[in-house]
Amino acid sequence: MQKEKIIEVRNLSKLFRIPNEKRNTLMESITRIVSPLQYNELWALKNVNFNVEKGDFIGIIGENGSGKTTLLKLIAGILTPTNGYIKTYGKIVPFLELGIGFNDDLTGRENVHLYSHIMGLNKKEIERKIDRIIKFSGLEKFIDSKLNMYSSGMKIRLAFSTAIQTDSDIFLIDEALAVGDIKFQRKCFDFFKRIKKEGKTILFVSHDLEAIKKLCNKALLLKNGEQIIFDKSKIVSDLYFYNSIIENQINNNGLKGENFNYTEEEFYIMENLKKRVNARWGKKEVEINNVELFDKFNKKNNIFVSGDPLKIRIHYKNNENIEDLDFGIGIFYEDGKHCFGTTTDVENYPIKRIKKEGFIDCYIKKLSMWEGKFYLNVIALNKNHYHYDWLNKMYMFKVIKFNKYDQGMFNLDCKWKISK
Amino acid sequence: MLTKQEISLIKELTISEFKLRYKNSVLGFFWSLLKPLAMLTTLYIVFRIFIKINSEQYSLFLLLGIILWNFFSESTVFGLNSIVSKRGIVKKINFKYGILIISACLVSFLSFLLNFMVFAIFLLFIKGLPSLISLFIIVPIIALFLTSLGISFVLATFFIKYRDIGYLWDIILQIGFWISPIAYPIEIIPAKYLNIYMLNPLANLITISRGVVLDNKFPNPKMMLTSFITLLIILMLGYAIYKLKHRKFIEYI
Repeated sequence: MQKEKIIEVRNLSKLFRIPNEKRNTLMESITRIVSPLQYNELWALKNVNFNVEKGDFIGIIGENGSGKTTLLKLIAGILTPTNGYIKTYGKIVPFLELGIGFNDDLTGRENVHLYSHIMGLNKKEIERKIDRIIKFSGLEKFIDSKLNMYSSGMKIRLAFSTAIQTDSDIFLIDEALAVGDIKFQRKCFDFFKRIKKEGKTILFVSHDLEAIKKLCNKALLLKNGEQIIFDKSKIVSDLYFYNSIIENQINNNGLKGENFNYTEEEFYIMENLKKRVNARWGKKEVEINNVELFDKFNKKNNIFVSGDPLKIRIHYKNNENIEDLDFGIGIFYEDGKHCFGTTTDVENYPIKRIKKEGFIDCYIKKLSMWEGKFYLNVIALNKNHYHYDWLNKMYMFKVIKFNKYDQGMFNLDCKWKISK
Repeated sequence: MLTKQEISLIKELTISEFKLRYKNSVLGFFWSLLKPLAMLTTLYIVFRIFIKINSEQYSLFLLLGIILWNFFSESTVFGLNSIVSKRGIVKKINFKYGILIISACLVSFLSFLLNFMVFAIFLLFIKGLPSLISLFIIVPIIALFLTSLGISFVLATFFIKYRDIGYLWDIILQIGFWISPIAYPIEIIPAKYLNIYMLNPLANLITISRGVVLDNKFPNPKMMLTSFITLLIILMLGYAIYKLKHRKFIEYI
């Protein structure tokens, strides 16, 4: 069935002209004729295209300054596009910021009235809903006191309760979750789930990738105003995550090459790992030249998300034309505890006709540890456990987790079911 | 034009803004009487006692001029600030921003009504019950409101981007006070300058108002017509400028 289109964004671009010096007065505009103003041109959005269907829950992610808020403001109609167009079919409520328009000198009740008017409710609806709004905020006692007596948390609660009562088809939410305590955040989540069920459409800007994965069905990734990808939220948030950690580490540490994900301290440890006396043994009949780790996007990396795949690539050189050859790996916790070990022999993968030089890949489908630093052993050996080349804990990688709530060491697949 | 919901928003904004003006003071709206009364006293002393201007019922004459002028100057100043002072909302929510200008002028209008009631009481005491013709004053008052609104549309729009409009308007108001017939009757203007003098839309409106309330005579139709045309031009031009420019300027707010 064809779903109903509710927002259409086509070739959308937005140019901001930022004057080098701020000239905000008429006098200065007149002098501009003599000395023209220098502008920095900033394309806040470049050629963005996507469709939103009714009932979609869209996450918008990207670094600060990537154009997320500009996009919401354009959809809300606060800004006008430089190029392209946006079509919306339905009433929009922007939650760009909670509590705007609240006046400290008015009482809570008066503010609710005013705020809901600005948000587009009419008088009758407000009268009908005001009790529910007040009850939801939990501020019955203080509702007739002036707002300057409220704590900032109380103001946000009141604003949120008011905003969610406005009936509309499209909700634009800009990091509303960044404020408030855990209890309030939970309330927000419940609200999002409820409106999702009601078939409303939501555009949601957040840095909380876990929330995006959980709540949104689709996501849009922006970078410097350009649309990188618009796809299923899981795909988009993973891509964003892996890309951003690589970039961050390169920018922050200046460590390039394969060690880009380590802090300097970790890099120092790594270097020393390789220099240790007992780091390597064997006569190198088969020599392991190099070991590379790849993430789920097949990019060289050394930091991975729990639950994601990992590929270990072992480069070897068969110096003495050995035919009886197996490869093995071992993974250790930082404290030396052995987590996992396997060989090609154990996995029943016979190695025949070995080239003089080449590589072998070991695929790990799912990293089952939650988080931590891990050492890697890489071994070239034969069936009789004679070691040609043994690289003992010479490599290290990190695993991190998205999910704040799960605990323990392992990330096990787990489902609950209650008896009927 | 405006939907029912938008009208109700104007109402809500106006009422809450009006409440706020007098909320944090014990004497409330009596403060708003202080300004016209102080002006009245000063101007009365200067013109009646020092300069010895000759005019019947000079105190009422002066008071009416002052409250009409104050209404005009206050509503345009509020109108000028209306969008910029609410930049928090304007940046985040999309609605017809002209609503803010209208409600700013309406707040001043409410203050004016309070002042006018005081004038009416003065009138009763000094002159006794006015004739029915006095009711006609509603017309120039509405015209004055619409003129202020038209000017506010222009000022508010440009003030978003050019902040020195504020100072400029302050100076224009200072001059405007003296080139409007507030402290003196229109008769003292030499005939050869009268046509230029009457280009000031306030000159007509103030003269008409005084005519109906103090002299119980209907304004002459020519005066009415010029006022009406000027008002229409100001209002339409103001709205057109607002409509054309405000979206572009708001990105600089």
